Amino acid sequence: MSSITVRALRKHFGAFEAIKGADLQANEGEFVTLLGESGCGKTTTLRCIAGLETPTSGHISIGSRAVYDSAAKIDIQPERRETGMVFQSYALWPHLTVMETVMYPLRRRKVRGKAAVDRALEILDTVGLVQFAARPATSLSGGQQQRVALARALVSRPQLMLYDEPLSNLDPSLRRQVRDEIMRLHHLNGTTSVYVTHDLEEAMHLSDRIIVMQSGLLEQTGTPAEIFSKPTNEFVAKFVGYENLLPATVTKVQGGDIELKLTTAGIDIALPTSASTKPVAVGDQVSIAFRSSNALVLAERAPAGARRLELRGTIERVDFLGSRNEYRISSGDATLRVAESERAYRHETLRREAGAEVWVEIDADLCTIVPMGRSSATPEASEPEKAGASA
Amino acid sequence: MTGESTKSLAAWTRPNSLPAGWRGSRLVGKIFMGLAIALLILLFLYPPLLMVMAAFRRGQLAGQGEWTLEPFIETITSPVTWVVTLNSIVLSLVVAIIGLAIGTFLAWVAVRTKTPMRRWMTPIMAITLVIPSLFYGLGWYVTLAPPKAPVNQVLQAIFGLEASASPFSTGWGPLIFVVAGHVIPVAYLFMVGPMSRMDASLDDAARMSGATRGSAFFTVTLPLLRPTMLGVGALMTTYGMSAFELPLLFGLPAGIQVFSTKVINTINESEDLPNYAGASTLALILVLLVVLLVVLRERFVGNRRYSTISGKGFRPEPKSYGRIQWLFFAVFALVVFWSGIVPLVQMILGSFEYFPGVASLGFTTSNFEEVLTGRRTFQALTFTLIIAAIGGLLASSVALLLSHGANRSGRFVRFIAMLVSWAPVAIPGVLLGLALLTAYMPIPGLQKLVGTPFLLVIGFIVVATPIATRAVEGGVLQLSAELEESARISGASRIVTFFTVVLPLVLPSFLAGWFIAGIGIAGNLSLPVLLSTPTMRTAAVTAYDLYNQGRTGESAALFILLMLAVVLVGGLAWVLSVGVIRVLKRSRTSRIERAMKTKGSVLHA
Repeated sequence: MSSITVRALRKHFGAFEAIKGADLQANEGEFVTLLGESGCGKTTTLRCIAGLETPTSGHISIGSRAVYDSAAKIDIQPERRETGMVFQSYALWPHLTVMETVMYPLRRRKVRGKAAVDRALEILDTVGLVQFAARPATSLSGGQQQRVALARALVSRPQLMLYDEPLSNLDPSLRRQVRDEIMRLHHLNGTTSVYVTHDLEEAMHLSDRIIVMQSGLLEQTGTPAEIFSKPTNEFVAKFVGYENLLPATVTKVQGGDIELKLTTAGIDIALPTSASTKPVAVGDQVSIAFRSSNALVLAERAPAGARRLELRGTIERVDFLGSRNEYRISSGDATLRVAESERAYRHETLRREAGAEVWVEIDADLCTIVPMGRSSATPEASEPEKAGASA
Repeated sequence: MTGESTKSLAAWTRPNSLPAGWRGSRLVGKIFMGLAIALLILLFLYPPLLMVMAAFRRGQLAGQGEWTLEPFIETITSPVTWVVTLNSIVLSLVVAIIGLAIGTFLAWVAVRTKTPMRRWMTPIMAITLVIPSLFYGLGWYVTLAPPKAPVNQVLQAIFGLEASASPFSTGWGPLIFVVAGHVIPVAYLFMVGPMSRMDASLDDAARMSGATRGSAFFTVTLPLLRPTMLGVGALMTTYGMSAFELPLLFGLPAGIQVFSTKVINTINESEDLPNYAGASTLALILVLLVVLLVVLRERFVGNRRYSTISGKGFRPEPKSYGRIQWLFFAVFALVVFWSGIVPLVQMILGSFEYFPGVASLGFTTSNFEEVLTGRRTFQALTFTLIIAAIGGLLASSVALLLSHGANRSGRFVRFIAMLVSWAPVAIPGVLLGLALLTAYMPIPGLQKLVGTPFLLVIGFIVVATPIATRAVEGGVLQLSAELEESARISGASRIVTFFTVVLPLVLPSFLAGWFIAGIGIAGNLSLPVLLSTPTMRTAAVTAYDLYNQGRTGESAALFILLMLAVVLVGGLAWVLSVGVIRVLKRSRTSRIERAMKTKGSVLHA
């Protein structure tokens, strides 16, 4: 097992800058996910690590061994980087059987005879495909094919596993199954893994750590819980499901509280400092972010009690989705998105139609203060350098 | 993790002024690549370049003597030149369109429908291809042209036409008909491979999107095959442009001149000096036309990727189209008669006649006796087969390396590969031998090869590579890059990846390229006429000599023997290669199975 270090990685395709200086690090046995929209450079980053793409500049090392360094002029061929990779399209060879496919990496690494067969069978057994060993790899079903691809990647006990959106070609039920399989194999082998996906749930489930990417930049790094509840900018906030971002101005920072004025509704609210991911100062333009599922729709204003954000609004639209109702509620200039659980819509009495006047309430501890702006913007987005710059 | 895997990085951190891409194994690769490109330029690009220069020199030999613009201007300003150009363009375009349309349609019929005999279509078409064009042309000539020809007799009986007035003997109609018949099998064979490897679910998707069977074919199947079709279409066009024997038989009597016939005409028109400059000027126009064709093809194909072999499963299932399939079958049968059976039967008859086409004199086996007892016949046949097999293999290998390299490399390599695969086409067939000879003569190493079979093989590689490339590049284009990338990640170097992943997957295209190139070589006349000495004549040249001596019956007999030999050897090679592949595969599987069994018994014990 090996750690992986990427420093100041840049990749240009002609005039297009796919990666604008990425720094990332995965420790031994860690499962790190690159999360982002398509075209954000996450797959290119992965392909640079694999050696399938030559970066424009930067440094990559696997364990203590530099596999790419533009300054020291190192560029090791992909076959000598000892990585395993799972491709989005499976990339199984139509002319080989399952057994031959899995034995291919072993043969290339000079493992022959009984040792190779034993190892191949062992890994096929692990992914539950021993009975298909003699079948052509491309004749299996999608989920089975991806498990063959997994077995092929793992069979030679690579230093590092790379996954390029391995689940996006599978249907949802299989996706869950293969995801569990990846999780199980990761824990079984403990191989350091770098995983690329645009699916939030996949990333949350699998990762020890998530790196959110946007247009060639790393936006935020953190554990799934951190990313989920403490996004550091609006882009990440939207990406992890904060549908509501209300612009606000910091009016006072005192004790454990931050007092804000909502720009659209013109009302004041005080939130605990723990709600903010970064220190704020009076006059800062920020956004108050909350998820639609964390808001309540009420006919009457609730009695004063716990600290919360209360907004008056008019229902614009209701969508019935079975397990929940989804509302669009206009409040001042803003449009709020609120989801009402089955429990709530069965128990609460409320006029649920367009034009009805309602109250929307969110508990203060479910609100997050995010700096205004779509991105944390500077190419050197990683935390230590930020801290260094402000010091 | 075990320690054997971590290699020291000390060897790599040594400071060096060369960038990473120019060191170690990559440097070796680049040097090798550079040498290969230099060799390719010398062999493939120098001859056409020389021919271009020859347009501006006047002397005893092509490309020598004083520099002058006179013949160039004279040829360019002559209206005949432009008539010839127009004739060539019309002939090649019409023939390309007919060939491509019918060939593509039949390829689709063979792969995607349940038409009767569909499994036999490819072998039958391949056999049709074996017929050399001179032989094919003579077959149709005997059928169409003479007053006593069967077609004319029928016409005379029905319409009471005068023999000389028959519109079917020579002229545009018969010329296009005959040339088109000759290229349809080529188009078919180029289209059938890519068609059979296309994912049928793409068609199904079109059907589900509301397309009828017919519109699915035109809106999805055909556009997906566009790169292959454009390549084949361009090749068909050049066939028409460099055609020689057929226009000579069917065009010239009606006053229709095309490039090849006009080139010969031009060289011989003046009494004192052969007019190479004039001929080269004509060739220059051909070069420009081919360049235009290639540029057009590049513009249409562009940088779009058409990988239809992905790592996912694909199974093109033939579908039944009902009774209309009998119509498909009829079209196929018609084409087989057109491009094979009619001329073949005519010439087989001819080989048993005292004078081909004149059945009234009775039949004889004397032609075959004469040929079979001929001292050099066996030698010529063996020599031809060996040269064709070796030349075809090498041409197909060059084609595969070029198209694969071009597909996976940068613009420069792509450009070189494109030039190499098209440049020889720009030399009119009749000038090819001359161009190669004058180009290679001054080169020290190649000079020594003049008069040996090696130069002939090199010449044939140059001639056959464009054809082989068209056969191979379709297969290569369809390979998705991830299949190779996954092999690299699995620890295979570039070379090992090429042999374990690329080659097995493009093998059908590669073998097709070999076969087509080999057949082109076996039937080629222009090159061996100049490059071979009397002791190493190819069978085609010997047959051509016989024809020129008026011994048409013997010539037909020898052509038939050559075709039989090619079919026999080709078939044998095919059976052998299928067998070898099967045995290799089985031994590999059984080795794995044995090992699995012993392992199983251990497990159960």
